[in-house]
Formats: sequence, C-alpha cells, structure tokens
Amino acid sequence: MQVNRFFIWIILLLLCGSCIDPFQPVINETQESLVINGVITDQPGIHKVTISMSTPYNEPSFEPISGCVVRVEDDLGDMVVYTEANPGVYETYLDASFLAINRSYTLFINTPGGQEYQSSYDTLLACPSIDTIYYEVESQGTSDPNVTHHGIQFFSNLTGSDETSRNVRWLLEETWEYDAAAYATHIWYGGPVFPIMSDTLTTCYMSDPILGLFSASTRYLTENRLVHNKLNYVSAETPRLKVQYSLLVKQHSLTNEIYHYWERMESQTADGGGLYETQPSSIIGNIYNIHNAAEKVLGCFYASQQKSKRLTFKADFDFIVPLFTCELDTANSVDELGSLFPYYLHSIDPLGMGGPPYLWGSESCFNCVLKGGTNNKPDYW
Amino acid sequence: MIRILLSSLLLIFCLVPYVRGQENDVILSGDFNDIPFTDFVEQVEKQTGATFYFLEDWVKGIRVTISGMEISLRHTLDKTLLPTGLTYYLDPHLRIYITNQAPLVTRLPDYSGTGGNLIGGFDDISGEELTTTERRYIDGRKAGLLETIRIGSSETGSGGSNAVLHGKITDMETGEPLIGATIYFEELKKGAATDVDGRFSIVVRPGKYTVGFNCMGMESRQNYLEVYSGGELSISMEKSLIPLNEVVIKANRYHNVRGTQMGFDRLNYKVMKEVPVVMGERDVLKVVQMLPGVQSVGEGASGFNVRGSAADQNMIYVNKVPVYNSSHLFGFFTSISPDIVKDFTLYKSNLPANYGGRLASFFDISTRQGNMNEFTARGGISPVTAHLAVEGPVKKEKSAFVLSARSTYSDWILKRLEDPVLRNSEAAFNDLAGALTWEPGDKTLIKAFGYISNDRFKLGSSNQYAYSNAGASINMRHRFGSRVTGDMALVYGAYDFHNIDQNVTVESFEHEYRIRHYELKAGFTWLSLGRHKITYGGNAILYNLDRGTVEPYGPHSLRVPVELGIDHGIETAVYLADEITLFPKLTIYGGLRFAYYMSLGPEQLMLYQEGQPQRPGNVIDTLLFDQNQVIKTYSGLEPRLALNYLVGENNSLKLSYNRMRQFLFMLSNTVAISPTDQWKLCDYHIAPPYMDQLSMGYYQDFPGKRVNTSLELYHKWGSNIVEYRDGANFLSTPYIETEILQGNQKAYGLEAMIKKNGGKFNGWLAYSYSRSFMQVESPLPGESINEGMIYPSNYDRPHNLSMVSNIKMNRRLSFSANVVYITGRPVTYPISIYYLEDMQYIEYSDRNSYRIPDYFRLDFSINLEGNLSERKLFHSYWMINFYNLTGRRNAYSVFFENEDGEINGYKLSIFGQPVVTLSWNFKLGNYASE
Repeated sequence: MQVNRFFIWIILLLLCGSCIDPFQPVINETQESLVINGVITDQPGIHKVTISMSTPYNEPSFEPISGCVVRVEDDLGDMVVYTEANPGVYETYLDASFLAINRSYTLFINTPGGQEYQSSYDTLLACPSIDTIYYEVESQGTSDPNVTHHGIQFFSNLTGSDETSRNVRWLLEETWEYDAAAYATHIWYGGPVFPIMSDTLTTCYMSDPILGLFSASTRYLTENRLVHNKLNYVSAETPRLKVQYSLLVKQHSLTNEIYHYWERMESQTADGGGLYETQPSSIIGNIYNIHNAAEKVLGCFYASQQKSKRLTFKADFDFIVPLFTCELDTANSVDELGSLFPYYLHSIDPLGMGGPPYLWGSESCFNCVLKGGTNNKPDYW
Repeated sequence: MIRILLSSLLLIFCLVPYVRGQENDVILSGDFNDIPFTDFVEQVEKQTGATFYFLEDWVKGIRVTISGMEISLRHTLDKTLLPTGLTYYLDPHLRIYITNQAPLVTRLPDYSGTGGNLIGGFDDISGEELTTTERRYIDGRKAGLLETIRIGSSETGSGGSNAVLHGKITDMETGEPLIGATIYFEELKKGAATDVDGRFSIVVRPGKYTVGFNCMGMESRQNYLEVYSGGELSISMEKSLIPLNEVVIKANRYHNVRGTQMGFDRLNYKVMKEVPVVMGERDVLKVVQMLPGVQSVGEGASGFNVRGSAADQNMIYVNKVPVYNSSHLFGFFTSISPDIVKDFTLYKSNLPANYGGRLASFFDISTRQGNMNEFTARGGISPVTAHLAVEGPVKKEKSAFVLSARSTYSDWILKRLEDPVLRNSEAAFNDLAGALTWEPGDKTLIKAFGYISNDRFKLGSSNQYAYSNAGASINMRHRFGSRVTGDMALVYGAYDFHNIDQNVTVESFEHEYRIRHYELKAGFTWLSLGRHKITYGGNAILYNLDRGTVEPYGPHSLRVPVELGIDHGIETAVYLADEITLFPKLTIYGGLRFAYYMSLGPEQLMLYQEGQPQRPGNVIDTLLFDQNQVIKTYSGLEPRLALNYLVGENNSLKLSYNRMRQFLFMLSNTVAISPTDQWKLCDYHIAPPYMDQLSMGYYQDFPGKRVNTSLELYHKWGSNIVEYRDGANFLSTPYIETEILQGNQKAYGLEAMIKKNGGKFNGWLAYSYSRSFMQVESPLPGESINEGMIYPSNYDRPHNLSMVSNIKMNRRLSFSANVVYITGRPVTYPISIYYLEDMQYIEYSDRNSYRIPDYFRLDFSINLEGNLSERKLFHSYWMINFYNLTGRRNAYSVFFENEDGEINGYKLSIFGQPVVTLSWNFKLGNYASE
C-alpha cells in the first residue's frame, strides 16, 4: 500500500439521488360517506348545492345522490328550497332580499334514505376588496440543469378593513385564445370544393375553472392586508400564453371555521411527502347528521360575499410557447380523399388560386371548437 | 538386519542418568569406499558392539565413504545422514536410533526452565523454531510463571473479615483504561467487570485464589492472588498477537449470562470500523440501529425508535453530556465524530437506578481518554467529510488529552444532485470535541470534556436552518476509604436552532430556539458486605428553555410576532439500589429512584373551562407567575428490579421491571424529527409521561464456539404520552396544551439474537417482533384521536431482521455485509375519493391503519488495511462501501398529489440506487496501534 503515501484521498464514484416513483397502494376497505358541498354568495342568481357519495379510491367517480330535499334557512327564519337540476346538483334562484352581510345561513338536507343533515350556521361576512391582480415571469428548474421551464405566476393584493373578513378564498377561472393547428381555406362535402370565408374555425377561446385551492388569512398579520399573494402558475409548456390570456379572480370571504377547513384541505393537498411533511388525516367540515353525530359527512356549506376582478393581457413573452400541432397529408386532388365528409382543406396551390394540391387532416386540426373552446369572442376580449 | 524402533522414550529417560549427548562417541577404524549404509552398519556393529535401530527404507541409496584409524562415528553419521534429512541419537549403551525428520525429544523439560534435550546435535533449538503449541506446552510447565500478586499485608489482615479489592485494568501499550475487561475468581466462581474508567471493585474473603483477567482483543492472563486484606490492584494487559476478532461485542460472557443487566448492548469503536456505511462515514447511531429492538425513523432521518417508542424518549449522552439533536445534515450523519468514540452502551430495559429522565432508552457514548504514554493521531477522508483526532499524554501516565475535529464539504455533492431545489442548496456542518483526563493519584480520577457541533443548511431559496449543540462536563471519581467510590459530575448541555422561512412572502418569518441544561450529579458505590453492592446518589437538572419568538422576516412580511414563551424547570432525583447475590446462582438487583420536578415561573398561563376541551375558545382566566415561582410540581417513585438466575454454567434466566418518567418532550408532527422540532418542558397543563416495562430474557452461551445467544420478551405500558392534534401548528401559540393531546401507549415484543464473537467469521443476527399502539381517548368532543380507538403508533414495525457479518480473509483484507429487513411504517392512506367543485379530494383512513412497503437493504464493504510492517510512521486503511447494493427503492414515504384534479400516488425513496463510496482513514503507528 505504498500508494497511500501519495494520495490523500480519491473519490471513485458517488451516486446519490433520491427518487419519486408512481405508487398505487393496495386499499382493502371502502368507506362511502355523504359529500355535501354548497356555497351561497351575496350575488343574486342561481346557487348550487351538490350531494354525492364518496367512491372507493381505486374506482373514483362522481356518484350523485338524487331525490334529496334541500333547503337553506337564515337566522331570521327565512327559507328557500332547492330543486334538483341535474342528478345530485340542486339549484335555486336567490334574490338580493335573502342575501345580506352579517346574516347567518344553515343548510338542511333530507335524503331519500330518511337521514337528516344540517350544517352549522355560517355568517356571510363582508369581503375585502381586490386591489390588483398581476403576474411575474417565473422560471422553474428541472432535474436537467440545462432545461428550464418558463411560465408566469399570478399574484394578488387585497386590502380589507376591520369590518371585512380576515379570511378569504379565491376561485379562479382562466380564458385564453388559441388557434386551430391549421387554417382551412376550403371545405369539401363530396361535390364541389367550397372556399371558407369566415374565421370561426380558426380562432377559439377556452374558459375553464382552475382546479386548485387558494386561500389566505390575515388573522396573524398586523393589518388586514395581503400583498404578493400567490395564485396560480401558468406554464409555457402549454399553448395558453400564445395570444391572449385572461384570469378571473372571485374572492370569497370566509369565517374562521370555514377558513380552517379550506386551509387544511389546501395544505394537505399541497403536501409533497418530503422528510418533514405532516401526516394526513380525515378533514371534516361543518355538516353533520342530526340524528347520528358519529356519521362522517364530507364537504362543507358556507356563505360569503364575492368580489371579482379580471386581468386580461396580450401574451407577449420572450419565451417560446408551443402551438397545437397536427399531422397533415397532401392530396393532389380531392379524388384521393375518402368519403368521410366533410374534408377541411388548406390549399397550397403554387399559383395561389385556391386550387390543388391541398393539405388535409382530421377535422380537429382545422376546427378549434373541437379542442373544447368556443368561437364566441368574450365581451372582455 | 531389519530392526524396528520400538523403544519408548520414557524407558530411556528412566534408565539413563543425564548425560550430554555429544559427550559419548564411538571410535572405529577401517576403509569404507562408497559402500551401502547397511553394509557400513553391519561392519560397525561387528567392530564396536553398537546396535543400530532404523528402517531399511530410510537408508536406501545412502552410501558411506570414509577411511582412517580413529574414525568418529558421530562425525561419520553427521556427514552421511544429516544431509538426507535423517537424524540419530546415540545413547550411552551404544544404541543408535535413526529417526526420519523429527529429532527425538529425549526428556521432558525441567522445572528450572531448561529446554528439552534433543537427539543428535539439535540441542540448540531456539524459540522461533518451536510452534506456538510446542512453546505453550513447554512454557506451561515452567514453574513460577503464574505470578503471584499479594494484596494487603499479613500483619494487618484480619483473617476472617472481607477484603475489598479495587482494581484498574489498562492497556499496557497506551495506558488507557480497558472497558468491560473482567476479573474472575475461579475458586469463588465470582467476578467483576471494569466500568468506563477501567475500574472494578469486588469483595472477597482473604485467601489464595487463581484469578483470570479477560478482555476482548487482549491477551488473557492468569495470576495467583493472595489476599490478606483490602487493597489496590493494577493490571495491564497486552494486545493479542493475532487480533482474530475485529468485530468485538464487549457484552461478553460475564455480561451476557452472569450480569443482572438485560436489554443492554455494549459495542466499541471497532464495530463501527467494520459495518458498511452510507457515504463512507462511520457512525455510532447507524451501528446501534442494527441491534435488535432499535429501528431508524427513516433513511437519512435523525432519531431512532427503541422498542416501539418515540425518538424523543431516548437519551443520548456523550461523557454524561446530553445531546439534544444528534444529527448532522438533515440526519444523514451523527453529530459525534467517530474518531473520538471509544465505547457505547445502549440500555433498553432494566435501567439501573442511576439512569432516569427518559422513557425508552439511554445511549451512553464514552470517548477516548487519550493515550497516557505517547502522542498519536488518527483521521480520515470520505466523500463527505474530513476528520482528525489527536491525543497524547500531558504528563506521562498521569494525564492525557484527546481532541477531534470534523468538517464537511457536502456543498460539493449538492451541486451535483439532479433535484433543482437541492442543487441550489447549501449545507455545512462541523464538530469539535476535546477531553482531558488527569489521574492525580490512585484514588482520584478527573475527566473534563467539551463538545460543540454546528449545522447550517439552506434549502433552495426559501428555507434556512442553522442549529448547534454544545456541552461540557467535569467528572471526578474519588474513593473514600476502602469501600465507597464516588462519582461526581458537573454537566452543561445546550441546543439552539435558528430558522428562516420565506416560502410565502407575506408570512416569512424567523425563529430562534434554545434550550440549556445544567446538571449536577453524584453517584456512590458502597461495597458493604460480600453479597451486597449498594449504589446511591442523586442529580439535579435546571432546564432553561426559550422557545423564542416567531418574528416577521423581510420587508414584505406582515406576520404578527408570536412569543412562544420561556420554560424553566428543575428535575431532581435521588436513588438507592442494591445488588445482592442471594445464592451463588441467584442475584437480585433492587433499586428505588424518586424523581421530583418543578415547573418554574415566570409564566402566564390560561385556565380553561372545566369539562371543555383546552382550546382558545374555552379560556376562562389567566394566571401569572413570578420569576422562579413554583407553578406546579410532579413527583413519583420509580422502582427498578432485576433478577438473574444462573440455570447452568452457561445459561441464565433474567427478569426485570422498571418505571421511568420524563419531564420534557419534543413537539413534532412530522414524519421524521425535523431541525425545527422544539423540546418543551412539562407544565401546568401537561403532566409528565411515564412508562412501565416488564421484561424477561433467557441467555445461553457456547463459549467454545464463541457464540452468545439471547431471547428477550418485553411489555411496556405508557401514560400521558404526548400526541399532536390533527393539523397541529407549534409555531402559532405559546399555549401548547391547545395543540397536543395525551394518551396511553402499549408496546410489547420479542427480541432474539445470535452473536459470534471473534474468529474468521463474526457478527450477529438479530430478529425482533415488536408492536406499539396508542390510544387517545377523551369524553370531550374533538379531544380523541381515531375516535378514541387504539391505533398503531408511528413506530409500530412488527418484523425486523438485521444481520451484521464480517469475514476476515487475512489481517489486511476483510469483507463486511449488512442485511436489514423491517416492516413498513404505519401510515394513513386514502380510502375514498370525493368531488368538490369538480376537483377530486381524498378521504383518509383512520390514523396509521396502513403501512408503507417493507424495507429491505443489503450493504457490502471491503476493508483493506495497509501493510503490517511494525516500524512505520502511520497505518492507513481503505474502505469501499456499497450501500443499498440491490438498489431497492425503499419507500421513505408515500404521498398523494392532486394534479389537475386527479389524485396520483407517489413513493419517495432516499437512496434509490446503490451508493458507492471510497474512504480513507489513517492512524499514527502500525496496524496494531490503538
């Protein structure tokens, strides 16, 4: 071992890395609990209560409970009854006279099985106003040091007062403009080839609620004010940030009890299972079985004032945003196409006369509506 | 002509008086020219009357050429026979015995130590040419080799009464005390083992005894002991020439079968050297986790669970200094440098009465005391750290020092990790320790120890942690008179952490925490009568604990500062215990410890409405306490009982019962112990947890095969055990009673172990079956966990198999392997899915009703020692470690994420592939140097 004298140390190889793998646990129990979810806001209009059953972990599905009698009562004894609009979804129109700040509301449900449920009274508190919604470009590193993902992070600021609630929750809805993967110049129904004159096929608008929980509280802060409060993140890996993007923020005021519920739901959903994460547990809301307090009822019912604000902006970023893409074939004549009409065509006539040859492909390549959006331009666009 | 050698050696020895072989010769004359040996024999026999005895086959082909008038037969035979490998013996009666190869031993060695006489000219056989067996055979007969040690004087010795012997056993080379060395009186079938300072005491009747001294890795020795009256005995032992057993389990025969101690494991630093480790970093706690009944919380997590108990129920002492956070770098390493560790002991049950204050276990680490004879150093380099320790005498054979330092360069590794958060992280740690031993006289030993460890790490850009441990102790051991030995210590321990959290800008905060531990302890051993060994003493601890203030951090933080409060408390205890040998086969240990705790002001506390949960909404009054005003006291007796019945020479049955109390606990609601977990003292609302343990064991040794086996059963019942409420937050309030609940714990299990000590193949195989359950039940709404039903605790892991093995190919090359199998940790799994606002949510099962997948790991290491040359400046060894050789992705945790409304399950593994590391260590001196 003469070699020792000359080498103080050598590190041959160091392989170290933690890893996260998908994992499907074996769950050998099923527990079906009633799930009741409803909110009333100070905005007159249609209000909903959803009643369903939880489903086994391995076979998730929405299992509605029909035939319930649903009613909401306020602390003055006024009452409204809901009707079932869709299976498990109960609706009613609430007018302004029923909805007032600082009034408390409770939900009653009678199931077809003869069980009776009630929520605790929840007070409709005044909601702080949304000052601004804004975004910042944010890049996120990946496991490959050379690859960075870009995107934008939305934030909001709010200012409340002593009269407004200290807790809020945000419901977000995004709208974005996108183009079909290819632009159709002609359409062929089997007879003559017609040119397409309108652009209703090409430009669409997608509107979706953002799935995610966002809530915050100023209870432990010196002022009823929030700045730089994180909302959703939009990744440039999707086509959302290509043309124009709009975010609608609906802010709900919450009582302490309801905030505690949503905050726990949020943190439990966000837990990454790391070294220092807390153990998950069942989260119970404010609804219980009147005759059997031991029955577990999931979901909650709350009342809040809703403040909304929308931010719409042209997407003009330095990073590259992918487009919808589609594989197209070339046909020198419509005779080469089959008989699954109609065919959308894009003329690549070298003379520019709109004649063949054509590029053709499936309808979803040319018709943006088939991607799920609408071709009606929103009024805020 | 054919004569067969038949004569017995004894016959020759009896008939013939002692004559030097070379003195007789036979003179002949003649002219022999290249004649066969047999012809030569014939002529010599005719001419001189001598008789030859030999086998004809041996002399075939031997020819003799010699001529002259006065030919010496000896000379001729020397010339002719010796080159062919034959030897001969010529006796005074002119009989010549020719032997093939082996010279004949013609007489037994005499008592004056003169070696045996050999046939032929081989009378000058030196020691080197004898095999060890021969040497032992010959030496064993030497008169006076067993040195007689006389203790006391025959004049002062009063024949009848007992004599107290105080002994010290040291390493001859370094002068360091030997721990766990034994003295055994063969006539009395009685013995004692040395403690951490290498001392032992025993009471015997005056008389003459044969005593044996044994210590693993040392040459055993025997002496005659003539005891006239009490006195001192100082024995030094030499290292074994052939260190057969590098993995040494010091809980040797005496402990395993004869000692009353059970639920006890003592290991020394040599074990650490052999056990494969992650990232090449030797580690005491990782070795302990291979013992039965001890489980790690998780890979790379700090803390361990002993017999189904929480990690905060273990006390870790380094030279009596409590270590409140024993981990470096999230928990991958232990905060005690391996260079300074000499010996460590884990007590799991049957706690001696001098231990108290924790429910589950005591892990006692003793550091090196320093070489009393010469200066030496050791150190090493692994991919993560560099470490060095130096030691040497301050004044030869009187005092010694040892100093160790370790630092990391782990930033280097982090920069190479794939995870973007880790890549942008920083981590650093270091530790420093020093000890001073001073022996002013035979009766006094003074030891001082100081220790500091620091850690800081930055996780991405959002979290910063820093924490440090510090401690110091001064220990004095003194003998008062001949029968009482006292041990006094002054101890200081400190733990601090600092945390900055910037995950949410407006909620960014900074938090600093500290705990101080001041302790005075004294323990005495009184050897009253032969059959009793009485120990008594006490201790007092002052805790000053500042949970700190959660302060807003950064210009945008709007957080309201929360003062988490200050705790003061005094824990005191006194104890008395007696170990009685009722019959030679039955030993009983009975002890009583009385613990008393005072919670002290200043304090402002909340009173809650009776019959209502202790929640902020139910406060009816506040109470104010002044500085040092007693808020509440708790006290109780802790019986400690143990019984050892020797069934036979090599097997015993032991029984024990003990009660433990604990006055502080850790606030933790995370899977692993996190660097921000706070210790909290018991207070007005939180009563101290206590635990009873009953255990039983059977121990069987197979001394010839160097195998120890043990089987232990235990049952534990705990009360007031702290559990956190669902969704508890320990940074939000000083009123901890609103965040925790207290319940009962029950744990039971079985532990079996087979150990092979020494030999080419050594190590151990341990299996334990253990269960652990919690129950938190209250008639008040929301004050129960799991609706008051019994549920498995977080550390309920029924099956645990661990194997540590070590094969020594030769003195330079050895291979080691570990195998670990543990049932997965209990977790709460999703059992159903429900929808709210089009999003999927998970409904979880009852607490801990499922388990993460089982854990399995195989490690392997190759140890290559430097050359064995005796004279060299330093000796080094290389260690190649393959951690998790099979690359199994053991689940650290299982979690579920909601991704765009869909629930997906994931499994996190810390070491998802084999980790290969190379580390290098050195020490001054040669292979055998300590």
